[in-house]
Amino acid sequence: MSPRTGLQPVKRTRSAFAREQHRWGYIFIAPAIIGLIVLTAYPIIFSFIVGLSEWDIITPMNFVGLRNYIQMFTKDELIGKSLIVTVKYTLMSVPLSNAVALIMALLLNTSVKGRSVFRTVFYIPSILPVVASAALWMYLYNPMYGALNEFLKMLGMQKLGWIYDKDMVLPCMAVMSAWASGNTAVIYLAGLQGIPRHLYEAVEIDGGGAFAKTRVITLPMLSPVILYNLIIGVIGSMQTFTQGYIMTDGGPQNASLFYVLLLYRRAFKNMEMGYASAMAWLLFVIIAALTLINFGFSRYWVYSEGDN
Amino acid sequence: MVVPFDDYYSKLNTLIAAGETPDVFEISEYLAVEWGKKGVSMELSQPYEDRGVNLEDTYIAACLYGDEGNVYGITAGVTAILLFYNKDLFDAYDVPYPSSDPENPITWEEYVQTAQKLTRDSNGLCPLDEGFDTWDVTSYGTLTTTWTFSLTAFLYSANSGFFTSDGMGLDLGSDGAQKVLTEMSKLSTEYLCAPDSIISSSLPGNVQMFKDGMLAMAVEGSFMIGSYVTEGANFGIAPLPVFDTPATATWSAAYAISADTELADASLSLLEIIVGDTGSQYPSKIEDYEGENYDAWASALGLSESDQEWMKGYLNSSAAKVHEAVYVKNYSKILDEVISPEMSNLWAGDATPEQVASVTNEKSIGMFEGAYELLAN
Repeated sequence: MSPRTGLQPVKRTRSAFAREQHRWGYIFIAPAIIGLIVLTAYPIIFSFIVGLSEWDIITPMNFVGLRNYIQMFTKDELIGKSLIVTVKYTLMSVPLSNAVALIMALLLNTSVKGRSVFRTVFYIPSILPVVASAALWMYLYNPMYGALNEFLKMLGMQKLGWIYDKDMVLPCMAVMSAWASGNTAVIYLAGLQGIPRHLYEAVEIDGGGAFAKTRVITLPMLSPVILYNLIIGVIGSMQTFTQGYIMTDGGPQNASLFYVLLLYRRAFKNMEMGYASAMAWLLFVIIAALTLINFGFSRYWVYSEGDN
Repeated sequence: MVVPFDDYYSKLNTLIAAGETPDVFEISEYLAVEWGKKGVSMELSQPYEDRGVNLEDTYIAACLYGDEGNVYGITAGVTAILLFYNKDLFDAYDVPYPSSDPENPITWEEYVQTAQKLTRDSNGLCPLDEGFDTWDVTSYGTLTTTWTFSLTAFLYSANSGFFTSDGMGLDLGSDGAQKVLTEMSKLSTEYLCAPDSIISSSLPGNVQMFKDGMLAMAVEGSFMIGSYVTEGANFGIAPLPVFDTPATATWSAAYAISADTELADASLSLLEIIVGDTGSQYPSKIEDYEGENYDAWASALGLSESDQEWMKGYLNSSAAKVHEAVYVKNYSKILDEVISPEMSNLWAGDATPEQVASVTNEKSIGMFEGAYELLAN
């Protein structure tokens, strides 16, 4: 009994209706929960277990502890090589794609005639399957018949090897990824359109021009979006596979041997499922670390509402 | 249901992992014996013996994959590395066709000279002419044989191989191998009768190049004969150019039976059909290499009469040696991780044959597991 009011506290009980609602709630989310457990959680746990084993699929799994991980760090020089290739590609493609996408978004954000047509045109490459765009770029980069070398020939310049040259293959693939950065551009565009107009007016009143507007308003206000695109870009680039698989098969001279391509070869060519799973976990740790580093540094350059 | 070849091994492995191994399945040449030893596929000699079929008396040795007297897979005929030549280009430049005598094939030197005569730039000049433009070639005499399966045949011809015959080491440092690698890399750098590694990577397929008059000679597997015939290329085949002794390398994917099959009898019957007269594209039975039987095979394959003649018995001759992919253990891994990257450096001009031998020897330490004892070896 309440000493002050003398009222009896009411014990909260669920009505039959509320219980029914909860039950239906669980039923409705059951497919998602089951999907999460069966298609995501279980494979993750299973791959961790496989990573601690030697398993070629056809014979029973053999627990080997950390041997796969030790081998990766001590014996397998292709691991280091493929990581360097992947990081190099990430360092080229992420800044380039983001710069191209940002410039594209800034242009599309102006009130030019036929803006919606341009938006569609710039977006189309990003909805093309990578396999299709790889075939297209392979033709462009072909040293014998490719349009790029024909153009160089017209200018009287020496033909280039493009993706068949070990020094050019990664820059060529980075350019290809920038070409397909329409998705990123759309995200930038959405960010740009969320910047209040009155902030630009304040700069105009202070006598600032286009450069000042970009420097003190656009880029700071867009910085959370840049951070998002940066993180998504790094995650995507670190998992690059299709370009290396289709266009060059990791060559020439392993110059485009991406980490995931090596992982694929280990798993499906050499049938080293345990080793490949361990490689996948190493990649997970690397990507998680890079993401945390990006978040860590973001406090120095990302403006969030409420910040000074 | 038809499974595209690219997905075939993923499908097969998944079925095996799920305990649903197909009763009869195709298996890559470098896995055929390994899977038998691991208990995935059935030992075949005894079951066939019980049915009154002695495998060694029925099939050519090169078609039987096994170890220590056991057989785990039978191939539907063997394929061999051959020299394909473009009759149109040979005729156009009045160059005689390569020798089709298996005992006396063209020598390497003759091959290079022929290739040089047939390499032309847009001004009609060949590499032996003053002013030949390597960047404006319209037809190449040949291609550098970079595919390790084909290159193995040349190494055999120089009494060498990628691997030592016991599978316990590499043989790339031997005199024969060094000679082959040196000469092969000179095709594009000194003899100028083959495109360099960059151009090569971007060329269309050999059949198309034959049809377009862009290529005079190509080293290919005999399994490509069907494509040349179907595509209407005007071609002939000849034994490979010789370094020291006439040689070619033979292999093929094998067919095996699941060790867990519940339909052993039916599976054995099916396997006989697949590798026998009705299922095989190339001869696998001893009797198929003789007389009218062979003529029927060769004719069905689309070979010209002269090619039918010299090919008779070639795949079952002493020149035809089983490819080391079949019997060297851990072949695929050593090839992919050690040999192929260094060979790429060689073809790109970034390494010498001596360096390739030295680096591959160093990197392959601890990877060798020996060799299987094939009936054919």
